Amino acid sequence: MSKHSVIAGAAALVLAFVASAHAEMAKVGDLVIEQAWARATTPSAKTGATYLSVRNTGPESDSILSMETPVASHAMAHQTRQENDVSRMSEAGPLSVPPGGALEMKPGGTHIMLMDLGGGLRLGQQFPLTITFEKAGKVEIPVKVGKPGAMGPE
Amino acid sequence: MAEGADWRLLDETGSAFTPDHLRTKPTLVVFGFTHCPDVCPTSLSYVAGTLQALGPQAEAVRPLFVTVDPERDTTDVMAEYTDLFDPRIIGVTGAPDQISAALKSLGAYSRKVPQDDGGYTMDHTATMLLLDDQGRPRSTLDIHEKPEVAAGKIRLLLEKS
Ligand SMILES: [Cu+2]
Repeated sequence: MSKHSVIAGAAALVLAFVASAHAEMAKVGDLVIEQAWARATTPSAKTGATYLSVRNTGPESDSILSMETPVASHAMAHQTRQENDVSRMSEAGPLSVPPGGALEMKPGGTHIMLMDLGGGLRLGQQFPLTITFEKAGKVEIPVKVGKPGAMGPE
Repeated sequence: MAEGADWRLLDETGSAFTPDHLRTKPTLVVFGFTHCPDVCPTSLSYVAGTLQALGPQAEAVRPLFVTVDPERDTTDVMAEYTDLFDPRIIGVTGAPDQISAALKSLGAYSRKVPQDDGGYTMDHTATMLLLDDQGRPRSTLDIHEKPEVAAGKIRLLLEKS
């Protein structure tokens, strides 16, 4: 085997490993939930933010009815808006996923607000989040905790 | 900062922090609160990135995180929270009327918004202010720019002062 193909082989292996480490996804009905991540907080923090995306491969729209996680008393959809220079955070209405479309959460937009955290969120920690969809039903997805100021899944 | 500003806050170690402190060196001010998990961590990690981009020059600027939620943000909470991003960032809190006075003199806005669950959140100015060594606003930082751009703005201010 040439030196190049060894390197290529090693690179492919690394890629495969990275892909599997990131392949935290869950499926329920026609929905695919992926890239669920959260930001690390201080140990005494009461609130935290979680982000994920939901793809709808089916012909009908669906929406999130509720969310639950053992790390916090409440998990609810929030929306951050910036109006002029003022940042405002409020409860988001029911989050829906259009047929063939996706629901994407990211910092500064839609997020899942965790309230009354039990003991903060640690970098590297993983916790389960259970989402109940109106049509597809319940699904549990593992959420990975990244850096306190992370802007996406790591 | 308006002329004649008069307020007395506490830094994260519990020491007094007054308008006089803003007249010693340039200050980078971020307004927010520790129960804000979405916008504030983004701003503070941007400040951390800016300090990193400044290298040794970071010592010439004071990174300040002023809470708009003094009820929940004690000095200890502020210390723990700012250290999560960069230990050089100084958290500042104080009595609610003193915080209001400081926000007003810095041209910042905040409003308490009750939530259905009985808790509350805060609307607040998201702009990051760059003050000169007399506490006068000279420039703002934009989160959408690279931290290197912010570092450039700070260097420009340091050359002038
Ligand atoms: Cu929120």
